[in-house]
Amino acid sequence: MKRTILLILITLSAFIAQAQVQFTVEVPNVVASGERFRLVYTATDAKVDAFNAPRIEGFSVLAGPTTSTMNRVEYVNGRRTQSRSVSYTYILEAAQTGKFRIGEASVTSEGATYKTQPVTVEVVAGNQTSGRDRSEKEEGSSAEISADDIFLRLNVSKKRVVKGESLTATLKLYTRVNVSGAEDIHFPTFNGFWSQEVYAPQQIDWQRENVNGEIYQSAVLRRYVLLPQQTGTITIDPSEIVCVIQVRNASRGNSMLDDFFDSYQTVRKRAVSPSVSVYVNNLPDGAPASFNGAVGKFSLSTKMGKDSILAHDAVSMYITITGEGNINLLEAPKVSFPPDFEVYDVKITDNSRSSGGAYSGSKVFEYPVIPRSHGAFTMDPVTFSYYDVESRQYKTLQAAPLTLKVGKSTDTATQGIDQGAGTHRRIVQSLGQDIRYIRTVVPVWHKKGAFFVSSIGFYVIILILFGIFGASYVLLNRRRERRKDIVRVRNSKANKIARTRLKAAATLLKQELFSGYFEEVHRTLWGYIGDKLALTQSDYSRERVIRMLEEKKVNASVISEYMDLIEACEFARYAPDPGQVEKEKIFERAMAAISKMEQGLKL
Amino acid sequence: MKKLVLIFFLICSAGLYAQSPADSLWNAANTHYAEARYNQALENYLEIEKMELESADLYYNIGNTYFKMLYVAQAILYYERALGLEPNNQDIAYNLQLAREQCIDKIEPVPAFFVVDWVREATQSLPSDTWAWFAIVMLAVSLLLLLVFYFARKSGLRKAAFVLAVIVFVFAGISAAFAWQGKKTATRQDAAIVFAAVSAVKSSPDAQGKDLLVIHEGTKIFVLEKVGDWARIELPDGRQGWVALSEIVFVY
Repeated sequence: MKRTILLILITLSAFIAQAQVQFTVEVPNVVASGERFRLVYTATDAKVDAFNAPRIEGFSVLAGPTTSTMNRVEYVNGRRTQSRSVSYTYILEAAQTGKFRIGEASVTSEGATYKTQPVTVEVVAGNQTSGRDRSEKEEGSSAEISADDIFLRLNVSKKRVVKGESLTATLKLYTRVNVSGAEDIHFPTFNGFWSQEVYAPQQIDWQRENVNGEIYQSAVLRRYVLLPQQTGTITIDPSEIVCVIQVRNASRGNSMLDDFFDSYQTVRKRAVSPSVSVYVNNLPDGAPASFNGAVGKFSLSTKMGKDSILAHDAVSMYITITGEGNINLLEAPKVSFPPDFEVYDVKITDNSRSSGGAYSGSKVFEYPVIPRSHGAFTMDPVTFSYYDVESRQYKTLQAAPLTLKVGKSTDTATQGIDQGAGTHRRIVQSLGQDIRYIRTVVPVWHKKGAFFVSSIGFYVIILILFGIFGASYVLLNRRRERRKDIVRVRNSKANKIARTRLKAAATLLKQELFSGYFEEVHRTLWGYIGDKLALTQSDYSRERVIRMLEEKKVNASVISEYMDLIEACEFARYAPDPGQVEKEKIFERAMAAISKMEQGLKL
Repeated sequence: MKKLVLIFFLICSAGLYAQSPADSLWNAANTHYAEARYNQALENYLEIEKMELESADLYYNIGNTYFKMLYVAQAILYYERALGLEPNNQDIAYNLQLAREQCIDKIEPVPAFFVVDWVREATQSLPSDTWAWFAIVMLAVSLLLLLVFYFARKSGLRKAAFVLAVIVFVFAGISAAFAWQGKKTATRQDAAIVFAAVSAVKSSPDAQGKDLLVIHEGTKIFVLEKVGDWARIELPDGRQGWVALSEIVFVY
């Protein structure tokens, strides 16, 4: 496939080389009225079948078209090239002043038609005489050469630019005399600009030009593209040229032969161009963040070298900036890659060249990266800003976001890194530093300068606490006192109450109400011990009473006798009649137990 | 009882609703901040401050806003104010440190006696108000223990209660002292931040005085005395001199 394309290309280029027909027109662009001049159409490498003459208006055709054919054979490094050209020549004379257009002419060669562009010729009134007459007249008058006869000019395409906006400077020599050579040329240095020569002819190409109604021979010596690097008024220093001019010393006589014996004199004339100022404005404020000094008109495109790769493989991202402006000075746009990408130095390929007034073309920035972990990554879209000279404002281009799929590396040597296994653990890197974020929960508002410790509330609470403490102390104390009283009273009255109850029991015994009798004795015994120990209702349990009595160091035999008696009463209440003797015995035992307990508790 | 609780909550919520202008300003400011409209955020925050209300969070947010607007001295001032109210807040300390790194002056403070450091750290571990509440709770516990001591019947319990009561009472006293110290630190009248971009420290309180040092925006200083329009200041490293009062702003 490739081979076929190559073949086609080769044959095509050969074909183009063979059939390179050129059809050109040659005419001075300025003539004086009454002057005769030549209009020449030349067809090179063409087999002319027909020549269609142009429309010529405003000029009188003195002769033509006269056809002439030229064959040329050249041997260059042993290669023979042959060219053949046919030219059609008119001799015209300008009748009126003004600008006249000569229409297009065309030739037909092997079925194809080639046209020239229409040309415009300016006719100046200035000198009625032809160029040759004029020079004779001047030479007759003086050998002196005035500043009007030869001068140098530096033309800049724009006088007011913004920083970075390109402009062209053309250094031109104008002359009305015969210049045979130049020496000691000082070209301008263009301080404050980035400059590049874009046109530096080997052979000077003279053109006729109308300057204030006078016809001059003009030649472009140099053309530069300038990019201002400073702001303010920048003055381009003057350039100089010393021209060698051949001046004919007119002979005194008027003989026909005199012309042959004229002597020529060489005169050196210095021509200095006036200094030119260019006013460079600063770029307006409000440049976008991605602005990097680009001025002109650009377009942006981005792409990844590959859409999917494996981890630890290299891939490149390409940013192409195409357009017109200071493209050759553009720096690589900033690209933020995902954090785990290793980014290497940007490679820059500059395909721009100067054409006419400005640089144009494209610049390719290649960002080689190596992703160190796998996953699907989306790169932040690349933004590029420039200052648009035409609309006088900043413009920001944003490329589409690029995605890159990174698969797991199959290379076992690097797999460790990929999986974060123990051998290749890394410290988590900090990428940037910023203050912590604001609080968003509505806070508890304080009065300014209000502190709880110095507020009345603090002391009030303390006072209240002490108040509660005092009050509870008083209350508790009073309760304790009262309790103490009750205990004392119960203690002192216990014996008396027990005896009264026992009497009541004796009465019940006499009435032979046995159940009531035992119950009364039982209650008496419990009541007595309860009063003595200041028991509350919940305290009445056998174990508790025994423990309390032991604490009071009552004799163990006394305690067991007392408890046995209580048990006996309890038992007897529900048992069949045990007999009179037994009942009275219980009564006596109760009397004895209470008095023994009385003694035991007093000890 | 349930009714009482309900009424209590109603009163509380009524109190909250009463301050709703501050809350709505707060929320609006936060939204502005989140959308990077720092000017409006700051306006709203400062309006809350004008209402004579304060909280560490408010000062912290104002500091953050100033920081984002690249007013470092103002940011430091408000972080210092926030730190006065909540001395142990890590966020405030972190942001203050970041803001200080933007300052030109680097001053090594003189190390204090270690006990002083401990006390200061203990004081600053909690805000003043929290210490005050601690003091109250411990006082209550102490008094309760005292009651136990008075009225318990068992002698062991009474002894333990007495010892505990004394200990807790001492702690209550310390807490109250910390609360006071915290308030004193937060409202100390002498701390100030240099607001002038460059400020010359003079040897005497007049413009003709000899220049001793040059300090820059954002540096924290302590004012020892004021004479007319001049303040005698001390840097954290102990050097002293006079600066014009117009070039500094007091933290409190």
